[in-house]
Amino acid sequence: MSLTTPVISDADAVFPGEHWYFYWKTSASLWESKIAEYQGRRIIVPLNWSFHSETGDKYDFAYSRPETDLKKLVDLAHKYNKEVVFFLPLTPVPFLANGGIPSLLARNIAVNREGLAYSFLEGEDNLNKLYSFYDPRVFKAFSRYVRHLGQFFVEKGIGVGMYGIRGGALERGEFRSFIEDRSPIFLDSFQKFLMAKKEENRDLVISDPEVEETLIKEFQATIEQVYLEEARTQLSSNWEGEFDISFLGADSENFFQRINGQDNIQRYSSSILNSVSRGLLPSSVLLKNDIKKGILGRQLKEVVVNSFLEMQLRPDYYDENELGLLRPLTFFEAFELDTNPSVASPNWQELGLWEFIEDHYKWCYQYHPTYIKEWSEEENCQNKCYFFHGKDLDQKYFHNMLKIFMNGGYVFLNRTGLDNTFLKKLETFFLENSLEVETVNFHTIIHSITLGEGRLIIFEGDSLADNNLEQRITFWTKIFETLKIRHLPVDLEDGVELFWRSRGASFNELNYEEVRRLSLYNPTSYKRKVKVQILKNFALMKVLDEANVKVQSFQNGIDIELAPEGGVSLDIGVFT
Amino acid sequence: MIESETIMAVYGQVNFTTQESRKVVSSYALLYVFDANGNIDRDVLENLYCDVYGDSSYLGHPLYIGPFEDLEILNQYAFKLCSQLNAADITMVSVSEYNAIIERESKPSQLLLGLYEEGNTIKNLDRKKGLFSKIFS
Repeated sequence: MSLTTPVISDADAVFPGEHWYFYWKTSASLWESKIAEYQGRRIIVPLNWSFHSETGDKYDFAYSRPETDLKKLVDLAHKYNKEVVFFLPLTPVPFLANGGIPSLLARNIAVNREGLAYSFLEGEDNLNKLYSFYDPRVFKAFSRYVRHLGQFFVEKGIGVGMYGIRGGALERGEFRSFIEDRSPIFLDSFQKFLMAKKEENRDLVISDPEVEETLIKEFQATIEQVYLEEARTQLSSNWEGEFDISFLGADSENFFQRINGQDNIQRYSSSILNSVSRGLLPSSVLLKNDIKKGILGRQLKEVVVNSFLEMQLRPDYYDENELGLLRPLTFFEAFELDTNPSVASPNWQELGLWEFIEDHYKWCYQYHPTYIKEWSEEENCQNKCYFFHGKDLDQKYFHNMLKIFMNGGYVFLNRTGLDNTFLKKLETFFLENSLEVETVNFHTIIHSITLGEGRLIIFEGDSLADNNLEQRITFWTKIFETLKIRHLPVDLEDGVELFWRSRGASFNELNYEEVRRLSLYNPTSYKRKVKVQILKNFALMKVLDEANVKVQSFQNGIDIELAPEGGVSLDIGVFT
Repeated sequence: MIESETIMAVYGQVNFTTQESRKVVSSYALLYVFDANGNIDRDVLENLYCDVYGDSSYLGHPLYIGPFEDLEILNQYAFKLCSQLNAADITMVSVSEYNAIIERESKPSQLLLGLYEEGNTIKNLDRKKGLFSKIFS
């Protein structure tokens, strides 16, 4: 037990994690020395709205305080060969006081769906609260802010990239954006939205809480879009895109642990991987630096900084031919858009898909709960599985699905709730292409269609969901036995996390088609064992970054013993 | 920092669905229950709920413990929880009380103190003390 208050180093406060730079936490006269000393190549600068304006009316961009001079910051970074990107919050964010809103405008505290005021513990032991983005005064001030910011960037010739960020947290495994609000000001705005909807559609009746929830989501998405459009328009010459950030330690359950001085590293470790699998950028800026010194820090560096973050910021790195960057290994893309909630259809959880993936392909998936993934013709979809719910399909999605199938992907379609028009189109497609439909009954009716390397598997989701969990998992296991997905089984003890990444083989690795890196992390306080089976067409190439670990390799496998805070990576070559 | 002997519970009103008619009813529920070691295990809370109230005519809520018809029943449950965990007391804080406290406090220690002082604390007077506590009490 320590009897003294831990001192947070200045560097930790200014660079709180994953290359983020809090410029407002230090004097502008110290920027140069801090940037010069910083080891990373990239500097991410989240913009602090309230630091540039207390009232929301007048803005300071280098006019009075030197700490607001973003041009100087960019110039200094370039002087030391660093690359700067700006993050512009499009929602309230937990690392800024009042969620980032200028103090005079912070009048309506935002509350979550339980009715609790949003509150967060940041790294310096301060409680931050969020204030509502649904206050019209806040939106007007936001418009002024992005307009002033855009003008400043143009006047000063700042040419670096700007990304919009939406803050949120994984609450019991589901991402919740901090734009979500149930404060009185939100409810007031929502009532106005409902009145407008009722004028459009006089038959609209809010018959039950589910219908109301759907309308709330629609309203929320509309407001989110309004803020995004405003920012994108005013900052068009710098705008690079936007993404969701999952703040570690920001969910309500964690909050009550953290105010009691308890940090659950195991939970953070799992949240990092869960976030990445959902396309969310994890951020550890709320966590104290001392807990990030061990295995958690290593995981953040390997999974986030050196892999996922780069992929988000440099989409060109996604190129198949790029040898340097290890990309998260993805076999599955599961879509669950819930665009049609009035149609009853079991979700992937109820269909037992996640349990199956957890057992055999842990974290090797991308889950798409909201946003429509733009289909790229160049995307290699061979040996990858795509999961669609019939009830989510619209014309665009339906065509994407068929394109994936024709490009050699494995497509799974839960036909429950599928519109008859699409069923007829599918039948016509099969007839026109003389495709044979093989039908079997195994826990549900399954239709399987093959075209070249591609497979289309159509099944009745509602009857599959009626089976017990074991039967549902057997369903997926049997189907996957018929597909050509090459992966290694890993036997993990409780609490150990793993993450697979992949890259193309380099010139001196020509025996292999692909190199996969398996990283193992033990965030628990106990010794843990892991067994990796080496199957045909796989070979262990090297063991790297060993820390508190014993590795023994045999002809058909590798035995690993991880001490607490232990970690290791294995490079495994894949050949035909 | 609150003492490990003290439990804190935040409660609010939540929609529950009845088993048979699938009717949605708003009722009291425990949203978060924690002590100095962190959140109290959900299984402990759920098992106690089942022991006290038997099979509920409501569908279980995936996130919260309840329903409780009124505040008196909620407090009775809280007292039973306190006895089961052999804690010195349990402090019940409503969502609105919580929000008022959080809005004015800026440090976790102040927040915990505010919750303890302004919540409704139920003492466990029958608490069994261990030998160590007896010697030093």
